[in-house]
Formats: sequence, C-alpha cells, structure tokens
Amino acid sequence: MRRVKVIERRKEAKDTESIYFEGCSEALPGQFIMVWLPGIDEFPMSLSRIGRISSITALKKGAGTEALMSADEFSIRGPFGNGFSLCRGKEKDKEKEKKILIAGGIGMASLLPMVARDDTVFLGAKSKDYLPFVDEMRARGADVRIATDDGSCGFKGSVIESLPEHLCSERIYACGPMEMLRSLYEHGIDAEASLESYMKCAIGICDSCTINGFVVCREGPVVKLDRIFGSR
Amino acid sequence: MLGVELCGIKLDSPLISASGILDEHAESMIRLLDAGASAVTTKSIGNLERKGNENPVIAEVACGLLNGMGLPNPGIERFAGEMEIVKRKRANSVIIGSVFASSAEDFAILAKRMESYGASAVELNLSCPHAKGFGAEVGSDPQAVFDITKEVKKKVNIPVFVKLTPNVRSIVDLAKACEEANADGITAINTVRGMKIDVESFHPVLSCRIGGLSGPAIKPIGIRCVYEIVEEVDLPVIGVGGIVDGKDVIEYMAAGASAVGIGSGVYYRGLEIFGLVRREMEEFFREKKIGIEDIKGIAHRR
Repeated sequence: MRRVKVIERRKEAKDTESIYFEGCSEALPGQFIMVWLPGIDEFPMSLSRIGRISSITALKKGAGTEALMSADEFSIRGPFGNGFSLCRGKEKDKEKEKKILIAGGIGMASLLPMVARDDTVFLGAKSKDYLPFVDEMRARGADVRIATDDGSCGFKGSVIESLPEHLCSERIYACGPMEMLRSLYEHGIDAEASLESYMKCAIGICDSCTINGFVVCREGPVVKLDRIFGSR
Repeated sequence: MLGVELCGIKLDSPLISASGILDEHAESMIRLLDAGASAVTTKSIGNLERKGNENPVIAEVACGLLNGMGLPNPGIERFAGEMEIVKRKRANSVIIGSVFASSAEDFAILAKRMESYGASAVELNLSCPHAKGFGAEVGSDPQAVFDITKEVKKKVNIPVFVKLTPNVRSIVDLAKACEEANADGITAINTVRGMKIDVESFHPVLSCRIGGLSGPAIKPIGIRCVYEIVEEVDLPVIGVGGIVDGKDVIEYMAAGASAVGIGSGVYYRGLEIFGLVRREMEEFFREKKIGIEDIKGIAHRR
C-alpha cells in the first residue's frame, strides 16, 4: 500500500473525472488498483492512462468516488489482475494490429490505454453528456462511433444494437456492465472483456468477486466471454 | 502414499482447504477439489445473509495477511444450492460445513442443516476474531465452548470439529472443554488478533480496526497450540496457520496434527499449492525413507 498525490484532474464527461498521479508505469492495460480513502471506502479502479504519470477515471457514484474527486492524496494497492492479452507475453507483437473496442460508458476507461490509430471504438452511454474520452481517442486516430440511449448523439439505442452485422476481427475487446457483456456474447461475439465485479480482498482469496468459478481479481479481470457465459 | 483417516473419513492426503478461502460459491469449491484439496471446508455460514465488513477488509503485512472480512456469507438457506451443486458435480467429495452462531441452539440448527446438505463433518467457528457477537466472542470461554459443542453433538450424527482461537490465556482449556463435550476433533488455530495503522493518514487500515493475522507469521503459534493440545487432549487435530510448503505440513504433523488446513497459502502460491505441497511431502518421505504414519506426533517423543 502506498500514498499518492493527485497531480491533475480532468473533467471527461458529466460527473466523470480523471485523476492523475505518479506511479503504476509498469502496469498493463486492463489491470486495476484498489483505491483507499481512509475512513471512507476502498474500491477497485481501472487504470485509464499508464505512464510515469497514470490516471484513473471515476464516475461519481457514492461516498467513495465523491471523496476521490476532492482528495489531494489517496492510497493505492496494486496494480492487480492480468491485463489484456495483446499487451502481455507472446501476444505482444500483435499490439500494432487494428482492434475493435466496445465499451459501455465509464467502461471505456480500462480500454483507453490500448486505443491507437486505425482502431474502431464503439462507445455507448445514456446520453451525449456521458461520453468520456471521445476527442482524445479521435486525436489518436481512432474511428469513434457513438450510441446513446436517448439518441442525443450518434445511434439511438444500445452500443450492442449499434454494431454492424458482421464484425470481422480477432481482436475485439470490451468493457461495460455485465448485462452489456452478456448481450455482446449472445450476439455471437466472444470478445476479450474486462469484468466489473464487486471486490473485497483483490488478491484472490475471499471469493466475493468470483463469477462461475473464475476469480475475477486474480485470474481476471480480463477474460474471454465464453469462460463466463458459456455452458461448462 | 499420503492418505490419512480423520474420524473415519478417508482422505487421500492431509491437505484440507481451510474455511474462508474461495469457498462461498460451488464453482470455487470445485476448483479447490480439482486442485488437489482432499476436503473443502466451507465459508462459515450463519442463519442469515451477511454482507460482512466494509472495505478495506485485507492488508498485506510482513510475512502475513491481516483480514477483517466480518463473516460475509449467503445464509444457510441459500447455501443449500451451492452444496447441492458441489455434491452433484463431485459426488464423492468431502465437504466440511463451517457454521457460526451466537447461541448453542442456533449452532445446532445450522449443523443439522449442513448434515442434511450432505456435509461429511461440521466445523464450529468459535474463533473468528472480527465479527461482533460471534466467533471468538462466544468461543473464548471454556463453558460456552462446552455448552455449544454438547448441544451440536446431541443433534447431528456426522463428526463435529471445533475451531479454536489462539487469542486466549490457554487454548488447552478450550480443547479440554471440547473433549468433555464429546467433540470428534479440533481445528487449531484461527487467526491471531492484529492491527495495522497507516502512518500517512494515521487511520487503522481495516474498517473493523482490529482483525486476524494469518500466513507464515503465525505458524510458530499454530505449531505451539497443536503441540499443547495434543499433549493434553486425546482428539484428532486439524492444524491450521501459515502452511505454505510441504515441510510446514510435516511440522504440523510432527506436533501431532492428523490433517492440516491450507488458507492464506492460496494467496502465496495460488490454487496450485495443493499439488505442489503434495509433491514436496512425497519428496520428503522418499528422501527420509519414512511414511506419513511415522511422523504423527513424533516431536512429543523426542
């Protein structure tokens, strides 16, 4: 556990803010840290940018994230988890190939470190006010396609409904609520996804985040959807 | 080669998974069994669902883990489903149902339910150090240990193990109370009360402030407790506390343990720990040209 200072904040969307701090430069895209605000709460956060200065991106939701948005310092454990496969081991040389990234709202945060030129990003949110990182991803050269529930920006409907009939890429990555990931899987897309699950210990022992025998905090949070939704 | 018998239950090794580790969901328990645990002890289950303590519930410390989970569990009613899945998918598996309550009557009701779910034995959690009104708060008094054990023994036919706390003046007094109440065995030890304060913010790290220490740091305490109990009490003991490798198991057995529980070791070596420890023990026995039956309680005779 170590204490970090907030270096900078950036508003990303309504109620959504990135918090920059020094450290986690060796982390892999898809890994997460446990953020502790003494006396308030400890909760998992994906790294949204990774470097000498890294960031996490919070959507205001409860006392913990609210405190994080006004904190000058906070404590972290980690990074934990496996990260996306193309960023580790023998998959690493494929990093330059074109990718398809599919995210629901703040789920975009864990995919953001991978977004590069020529990637296609499908981003869904409830309305145009809740779309994080769009300008930044376009500046990197990604093709960003938007879907909103209320139709206030881009396609009207869910991000899954906005997907083209045939998505041909072996490299499809996703992050978002469980219902979204399930509907993606039922769409016939066995993406590699970063799961959101309630975490307590974050080190693979307490069994609170386990889904279908998969220990999300230690063996994930990144996993092929078939491991979670497929019949076993 | 590593087979042992515990209260008439045949185990293919002495390596049981301890309560509290990857044992709230059926699929996790199945993974422990498939990884080589000879029996799985369930999460401690109470009458009603409990969320447990707020985060943080864990802190890494030198040579150990400090936890204050606060007995999160789905409640005995819903746990039926998890037990049913394990029994269906791994028919001959040995499951030790761990239960906690604040009265002898409730302990007996829960134990009975575990028996009806197909548990091979029950373990009474009289030792959790971080849940108000439960665990060590009821299990530090020999009279209470006696009353609870006695009541449970009246109601169930499967073996009854009592998990004891080391946070008392004499764990032997607790063990003697178990013996007088006709317990079938003792599990020792639960975690050692401990605390961590963050010196940047001066806040206690665990939300419940004081928690339980596990891992290699507490192994000498576990060994001492097992040794003391075996000196005075004629009941089989499951030794728990800080087991990470094969020699740790040998040490517990030399102190008199009939089997052992592995918990935090899963954090240190992953689920593979069961297979790895097995091989390390086999290697040890091959090199020394002795068998598992030769070492039980051997330190008492030296």
